[in-house]
Amino acid sequence: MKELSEENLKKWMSDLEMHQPSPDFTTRVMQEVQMPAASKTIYKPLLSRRILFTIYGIYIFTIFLCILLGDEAFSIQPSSGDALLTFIYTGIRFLSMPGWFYTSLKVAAIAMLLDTFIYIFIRKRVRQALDM
Amino acid sequence: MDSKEEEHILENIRNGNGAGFALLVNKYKSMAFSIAYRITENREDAEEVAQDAFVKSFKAIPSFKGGAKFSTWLYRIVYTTAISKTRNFKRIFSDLPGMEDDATHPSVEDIVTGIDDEDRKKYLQQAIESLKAEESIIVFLYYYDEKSLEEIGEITGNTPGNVKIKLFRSRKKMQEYLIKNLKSEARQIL
Repeated sequence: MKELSEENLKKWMSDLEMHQPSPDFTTRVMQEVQMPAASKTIYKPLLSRRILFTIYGIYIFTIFLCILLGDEAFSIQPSSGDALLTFIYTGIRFLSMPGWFYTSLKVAAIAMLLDTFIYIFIRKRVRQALDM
Repeated sequence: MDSKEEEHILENIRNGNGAGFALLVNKYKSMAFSIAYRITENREDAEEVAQDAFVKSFKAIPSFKGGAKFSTWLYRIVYTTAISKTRNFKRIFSDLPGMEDDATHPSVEDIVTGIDDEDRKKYLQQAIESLKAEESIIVFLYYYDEKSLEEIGEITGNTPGNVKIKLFRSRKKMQEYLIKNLKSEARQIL
């Protein structure tokens, strides 16, 4: 039985047309590669992405551990069964907890979130400005 | 553009002169877009993926030491970016129904050789489209871009042996597709 040979496939496939991106593709890529330099001059996250995600990971793990160990701040109270209400309630309880441990958790969480959001927001604004 | 020119551009980028990157984009954009398109199955998403991949590669060029070809390294970035982008894993990695391996084949080479160039292009294109995204990328990289099994392995995250097996299966599937869809031509030839 004669099957498709490698030589013929190579020959036939060289005649095929590739999918092509839009004509301004290269221009857009070049605009994009020149953009981060502009945004970095305005704002750069204090921590690199890897460090940030590690801290987020540790942070989430700590909360998870607190829940597992039945910490007071995270203990889910009997409620109407509404998951959102329970979540909000737990959040408020967490924010209102005193002590250095919870304060440092809160400060770290707020600082990291601000850092990330400012970076994302400014990058977006710079991109929009350069696109105009 | 030969490999020396390419290396010269990469060196300039490492030294902070990124203007030559446009030449690399122009050279590799078709294959990069094609890989992205086969995975995302959508023009807009494919453009976004290809663009993101070029930007990522540009940023990472200082750490690219040239252990592999630039194209192999770039296509790997396109491939992983496209897979991250799409959730259509089934289409990428799973078998399509109705593609049994043990189908009996007439002489497919004669059938495909016997039809005119335009029809051959059309049916071949359709046969490739009928493959899983990963398979069609492997077929394209091997037969169109003439990448080696090792290079394709680096791009798709497979071992060379695995690429070889997938290439064999893809060829078989393409044969089955062609047999199925070229029945009328086959009857005239056989």
